[in-house]
Amino acid sequence: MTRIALVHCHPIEGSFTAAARDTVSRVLTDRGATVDVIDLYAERFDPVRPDPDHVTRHRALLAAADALVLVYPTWWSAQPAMLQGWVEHVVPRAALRNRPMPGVRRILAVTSHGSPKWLNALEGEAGKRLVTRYLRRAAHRRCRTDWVALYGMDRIGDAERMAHLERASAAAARLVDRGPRTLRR
Amino acid sequence: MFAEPTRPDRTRDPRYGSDVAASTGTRPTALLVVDDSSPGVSALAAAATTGLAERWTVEMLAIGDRPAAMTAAERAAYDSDHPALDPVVADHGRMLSEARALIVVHPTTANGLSAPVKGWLDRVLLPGVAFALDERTNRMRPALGHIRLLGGITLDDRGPLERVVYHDNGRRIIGRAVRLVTGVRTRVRWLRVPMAPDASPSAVDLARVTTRTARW
Repeated sequence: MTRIALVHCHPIEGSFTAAARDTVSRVLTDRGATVDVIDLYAERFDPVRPDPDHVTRHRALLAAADALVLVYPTWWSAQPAMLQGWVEHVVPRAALRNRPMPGVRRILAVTSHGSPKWLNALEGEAGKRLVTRYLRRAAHRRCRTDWVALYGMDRIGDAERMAHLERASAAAARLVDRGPRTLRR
Repeated sequence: MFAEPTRPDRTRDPRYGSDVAASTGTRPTALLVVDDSSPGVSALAAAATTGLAERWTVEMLAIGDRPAAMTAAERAAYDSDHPALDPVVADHGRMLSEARALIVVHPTTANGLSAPVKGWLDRVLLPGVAFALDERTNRMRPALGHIRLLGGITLDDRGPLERVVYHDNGRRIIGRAVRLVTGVRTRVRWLRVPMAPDASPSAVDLARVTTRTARW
């Protein structure tokens, strides 16, 4: 059975990001995957001086996972401070050499931006680089990343938002459906 | 035979952020945002303060003990007329509105800004402080055009190859994302001290920080 660690980071429970989390989680569960949800705000994770129990438990979940899913909003071109602190402490640079997520062959990021895509490209897409370069280094050496992003969120309507959730659903489904080939240990 | 070369008077050149100094006789203010949760960073900030004092009035904000994560109430108020709920955050926003330079001092962690500094950006660079939304077009208009210098001083022991492959996200966020709300004429200066994030810089490193920042 595929085991997936899903990290959610948004302070408001009724947010669009929470809807994306629920959508992805439902698709994964329906396909038989075991989903370990790490909800950073709900768990009151401290991004500066985290509780050692939190860090230990999250590291264990990542070590056992076959895939990692991150659902968060992009603020100032990168992850919110909460998620940035989580990465600092749970996947520190000193541990990258030992690949703390050895079974993770897929990383899926589902995020939303207030600004348009061209503006994010101009800003250097720091958040995307944290996922596709830093976190991938902590995973299996053949790990692949999937980036599902909604741009210009402040100026779009419900149709585009629904389309984003459908893209996130399709990407989540691919995580499990392609499991025998891409998630094999 | 030849005239003695003279250095340009930077205090009268607005490109160097000292136009206020030239016109009023006072030095412009540089806001130094310091993640002092790492011991070495405090020493860096002290060295930078000495250097910057050559040209700037330095106001230091030690944010290592400040909450980093935006709260649910703050996020809910983000689009309101009064997004700064925390009085300290509102105060930092006022200081930023009066400063001419913003410089962050932090350890490089996970290839980028440390969580306290990123949290400071998330919580202080609010609508009305860093940018304004045009109600007609719903587009963002920069509100930090008075900032003439963006800078970063960081403890970063990554090698050259690692920096090329994995990039410096902190520099990108400050030099690109924040620069979009200050303007293209804003200078960006970045100083990397090649030491581990939890190490203490040597006297040589600190002297180098003072020398370099004295030219900012």
